[in-house]
Amino acid sequence: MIRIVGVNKKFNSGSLDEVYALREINLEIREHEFVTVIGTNGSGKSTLLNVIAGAIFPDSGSIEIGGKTMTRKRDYQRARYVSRVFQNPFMGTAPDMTIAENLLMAWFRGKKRYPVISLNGKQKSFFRDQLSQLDMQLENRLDTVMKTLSGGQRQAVTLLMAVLKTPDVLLLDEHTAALDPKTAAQVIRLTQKFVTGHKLTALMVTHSMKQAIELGTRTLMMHHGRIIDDICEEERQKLTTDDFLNKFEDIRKQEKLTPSLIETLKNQYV
Amino acid sequence: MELWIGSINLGFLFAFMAIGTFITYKLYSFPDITIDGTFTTGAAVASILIVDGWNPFLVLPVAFLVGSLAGFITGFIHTRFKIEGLLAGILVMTGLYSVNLHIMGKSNIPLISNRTVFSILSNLNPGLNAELWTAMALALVMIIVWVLISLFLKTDFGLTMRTTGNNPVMIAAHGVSVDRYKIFGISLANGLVGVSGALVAQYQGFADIGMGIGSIIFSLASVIIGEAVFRSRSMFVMVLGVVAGSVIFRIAVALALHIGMNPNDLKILTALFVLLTIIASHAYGKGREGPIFNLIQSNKKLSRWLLFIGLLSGALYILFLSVAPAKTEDEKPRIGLLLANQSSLMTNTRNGFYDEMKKLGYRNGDNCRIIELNAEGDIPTNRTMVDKLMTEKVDILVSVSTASTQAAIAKVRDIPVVFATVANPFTIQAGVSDSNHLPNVTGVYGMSPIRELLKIYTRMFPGKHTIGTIYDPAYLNTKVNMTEFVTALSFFPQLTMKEVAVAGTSEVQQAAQSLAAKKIDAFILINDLTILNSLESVVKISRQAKIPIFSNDAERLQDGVLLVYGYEYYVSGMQAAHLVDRILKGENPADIPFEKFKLITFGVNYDVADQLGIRFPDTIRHVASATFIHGKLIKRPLVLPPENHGNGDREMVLSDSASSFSKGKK
Amino acid sequence: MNILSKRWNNCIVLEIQGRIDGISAPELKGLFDQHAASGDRIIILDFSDVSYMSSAGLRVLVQGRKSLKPIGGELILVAIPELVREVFRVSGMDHFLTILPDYQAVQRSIQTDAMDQAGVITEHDGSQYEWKKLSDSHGHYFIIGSTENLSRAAYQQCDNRVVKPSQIHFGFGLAALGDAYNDFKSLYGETVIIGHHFFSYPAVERSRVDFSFFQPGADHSFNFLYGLGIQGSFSGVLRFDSSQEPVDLGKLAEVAGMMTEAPLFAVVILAKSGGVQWMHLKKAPISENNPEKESIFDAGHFHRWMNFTPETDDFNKTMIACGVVVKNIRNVPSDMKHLFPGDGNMHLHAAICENGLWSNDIRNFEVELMRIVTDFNIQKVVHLLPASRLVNGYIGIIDLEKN
Ligand SMILES: Nc1ncnc2c1ncn2[C@@H]1O[C@H](COP(=O)(O)OP(=O)(O)OP(=O)(O)O)[C@@H](O)[C@H]1O
Ligand SMILES: [Mg+2]
Repeated sequence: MIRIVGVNKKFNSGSLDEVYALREINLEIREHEFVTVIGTNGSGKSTLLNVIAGAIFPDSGSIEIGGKTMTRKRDYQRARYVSRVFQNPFMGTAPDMTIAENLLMAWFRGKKRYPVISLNGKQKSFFRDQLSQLDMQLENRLDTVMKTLSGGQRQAVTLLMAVLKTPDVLLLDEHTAALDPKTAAQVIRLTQKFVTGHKLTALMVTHSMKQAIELGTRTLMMHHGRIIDDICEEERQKLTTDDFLNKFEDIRKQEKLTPSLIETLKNQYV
Repeated sequence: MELWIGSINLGFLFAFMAIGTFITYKLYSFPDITIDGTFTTGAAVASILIVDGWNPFLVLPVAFLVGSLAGFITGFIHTRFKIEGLLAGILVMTGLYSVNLHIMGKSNIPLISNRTVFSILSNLNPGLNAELWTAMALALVMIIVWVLISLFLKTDFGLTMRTTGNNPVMIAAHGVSVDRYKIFGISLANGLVGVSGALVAQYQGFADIGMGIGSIIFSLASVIIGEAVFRSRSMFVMVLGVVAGSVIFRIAVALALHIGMNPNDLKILTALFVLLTIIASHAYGKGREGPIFNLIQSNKKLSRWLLFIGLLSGALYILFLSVAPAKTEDEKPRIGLLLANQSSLMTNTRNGFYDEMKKLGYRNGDNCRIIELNAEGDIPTNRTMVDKLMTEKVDILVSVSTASTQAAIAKVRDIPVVFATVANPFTIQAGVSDSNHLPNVTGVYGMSPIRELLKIYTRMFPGKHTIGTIYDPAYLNTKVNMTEFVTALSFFPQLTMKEVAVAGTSEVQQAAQSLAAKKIDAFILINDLTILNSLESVVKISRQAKIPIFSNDAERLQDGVLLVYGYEYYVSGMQAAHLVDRILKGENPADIPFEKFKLITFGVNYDVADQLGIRFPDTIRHVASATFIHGKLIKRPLVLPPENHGNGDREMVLSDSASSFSKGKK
Repeated sequence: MNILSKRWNNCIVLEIQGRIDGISAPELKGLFDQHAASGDRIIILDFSDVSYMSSAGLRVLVQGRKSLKPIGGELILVAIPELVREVFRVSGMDHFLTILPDYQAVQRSIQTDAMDQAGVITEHDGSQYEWKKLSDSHGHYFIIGSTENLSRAAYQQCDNRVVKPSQIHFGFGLAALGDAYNDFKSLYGETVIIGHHFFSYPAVERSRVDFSFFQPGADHSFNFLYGLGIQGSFSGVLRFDSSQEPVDLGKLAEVAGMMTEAPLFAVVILAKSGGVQWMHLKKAPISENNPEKESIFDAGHFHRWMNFTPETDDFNKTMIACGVVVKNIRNVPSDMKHLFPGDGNMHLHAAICENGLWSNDIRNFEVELMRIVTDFNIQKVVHLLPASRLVNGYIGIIDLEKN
């Protein structure tokens, strides 16, 4: 479904604060895979998602989605195949528009918009049905302005918007990070329901190791712009959160190693 | 009555612009300054086409398209080159200035005698008051526009546009090219502004290069008023609010003029008003802290009521003013004096007018009343001020400057208009010759005597010479003067001219420097507001490079110019006073031919001559009516020559046998 | 409520004053857990000044008893006033809990248990030590394989040494469980053997402790690349308690050395950690894994081969370890030299588990050691560095002679 080959991305190239956000990323995600991504802050998770979504272009390498080369396609051109939910609940919806209007915008994802009025009763009742899935009592608030909803409700609506028109690829970037634990759990439940229900190919960035293990079918670990670990379905069964911690700890240690430290350690080992 | 309905009409016409601003500012949160230029562009395109014989209705879509194009460019550079919206707007607006000048060919196009939307409309008038009839027609148009725009914003496309402004990240994620929609919105907005410009030009009877300046602020004010008065999320109500806001704003301007406020203060009041309304509307929003916000928030209902009562009482006051019978004053004649700005041209003319009126026995406030208004450089305000003077029931209207005169003659048909300090009344269609002109219009005019100035120059410096001049093509008068200059030059084949055009006072010094570098022998300056306002820059170069300045402006002799030959605008005012006197005494303006300036000042500056090592020939010394020597100006008193109805064009007589002088350095 | 805790005859006595109710019960529980965690087994609650007890208090007592019972401890209630006694009676708890009328009864009850001799207590550098001699016998050791191929990761099948569980009482080394070389060759890892039970930490990514409990007659194979096997019994046990400031392994070895005359001795440690430093291999050092033929300790390889603690790690964990200590590095028997690292006089491997309760009674050392081996969940097996610090626990000493 997604094939990323040799992707590199540098920010502020050549300047003092040059950041290598992605290095030589090679990744292939098959159809219906639900991939969770964890990694340290600034390890390039969001950048990876941005590169897939087309919000950022890689410096080199190529990206294929659904067999089509997308490397140079802008985000709105990929929107037919890719939909995304952001960490910030305010980012995924238009605050001054109503729930129905927001849903309509999502309903047209990747399609042309004509100067005709299609938000009629029929359309609204369809939206109402869809909203009832969220189980947040929003189905009778179609004409409520988005900004009056709570962050959790907004994020749930955003999620619904992302899957309203079934996408080929769903990208979730820490989409529960800004929510309280209870709402976050609810949104996660919805995520799982939608992803499995629609048989989506999904990438979910999370900071919760528990989520990373429990959700999805595959886990990527990122650090310093690299995918340092790629854990497939079978391996995940035996995985504990400690394994993730150890892995990150390992990298931290690696960065601390000096020749003198190596010498000391060696002399205490053999 | 006229004043108020006139403001409503202006409000309707500016509503197109306000809707445009509504789209950019409210939907895209981006105050688009381009409209300052687009407004003029719309007016320019419309006027040039109308003069060309186009159907005045057909020019509206053209103005829309041209406006959209300007908007497209702003949108394009904003999105493609990631230049901030405000800056992109400023860039395009600045560029449009030149484009507008090119479209118009000159800085002002009169439409007085052309068929316009409004002249066609008035032909259909079943007999109502002309303004009222226009208002009714415009109201109908506004309803249609209102419904169309509101419906459009509710369509899938319109919704997408609104979402694009509301949350670009989200809408991009849903497959919408934010850039394209942004460009489209900005284009649409500027198209509407273009239409607005086209309509306003037709309504006021001319297009002027400066008519768009400040549009963005006025238009923002309209949007904000509309928002404050009509608070709703419904598109219909919001767009209606914008139209209403535009009308309310124009009425507020009229009201300010009516109660005698200085239009100069109007600008700061507008700015303050916009600021206050924004603060107040923020206060309605949640999460604002601070004493004012708390006060407003805790008294939300009260403040709404106050706003409502304020508007209601304003409306009642206007109603009262318009229906109340005009104060039945005594028989004192009432004279309206309309000035375009605060430049020395205006004030000198004004002073001449007042002084001469006094001499003729009119004492302001005693046996006559002079009502003076100044448009402070804002061209559309001239129009409103004419309306205002009409409601003041003036008996005669004196308009100083071309812009004011244009506004006056476009509107006023039934009372006499006397103009002064107009370079060429024929280009603004006040008449076709001195004696064949609009029946209620007469006045004083005159082009600078450039040919005479050149003659004096060649007398002083015979032989081949290179002269230089600087001018700002943005002024209508300059354009006229330059044509005159070039014609005059053909009489002096020994002179070669180097000219430099500037845009604004800041470029003058560089222009003078570039001329000096081209080794010119003298600066010959025509009457150009830009150059006169930055004469010091030329004088500086003149001193450095030892190049004398010859000028047509009689009033700047003491400022470092070697020699002046030209009219004093003071005299224009004096002459206007005499014309007013004649009309008040019963003469019909139709029978009074246009007059040229009757007095010319020929001034020489001995101090400058000393500095440059030049000696004036005796003939010049004897003829000069003003001299500047040892830092003192000696001038014959300005007295009009005895009434002779003949041609005021008095040729300067210089003996051909006058000895030649050569320029030499000390 | 107010609680006074004091020691009495090897037991801890908590004198409770006032009410035990929902508000004060957690405090009692906290104090109780604290004592249990530091190794006290017999906890006596003196009720003489208790004015009232609610069911919340009862709950704490029941929980306390439940946690002490499996580790051989006892909760004894003494001098309960009649009014409070009623609560026990009504709830039927008086049969479940050990309730004694006075301290004499307590004395009688615990004396029957405590026949054995306690050890000699000394103070040293702010830590408390208790030494109990157990026997005069010597233990024997045998060297398994060699460390020669370690640094070049050049072990091959022929370097594998098979040891049977019954042959090795205590020990450590680099080993793996299994029968076919090809199956276990990549599973070698730090290994510790305690009471014939085998624990190793395979040097693979995402390692889990592999272990084999000893059953007489079982026929496993312990496959060593190198290691040390020890047979024999403890000559004594050293109990230490340095709850103020954890004491490091080097220091403990020194104190242990003072307890025995043998220049070379094995240690078996049961202790609570106070910040451990350790190392372990991340890859089996077999020749298949090292195409470079360079030292695995070179800067370019180190991080890929070794896991280590840059700072001290693992606080307050229960740890069992086995190793060998020599008093003077020059006296190391030549065949054993390779077992001592360049910088030190000891080599220990430890199994680290979550902290749990165990007795601080020196007489219980061997019982507790074996209970932990079989009951506790071991998380990893590592090579201990001498800078590791321990809070309290025991060191069992076996004086070594070559077999
Ligand atoms: N637009 C940008 N300009 C400059 N640097 C950027 C930009 N976007 C990301 N970076 C840098 O690239 C690196 C990777 O950022 P990214 O947002 O992908 O990290 P992340 O893994 O999502 O982190 P987090 O867990 O904090 O969200 C960071 O060092 C960040 O500072
Ligand atoms: Mg991120």
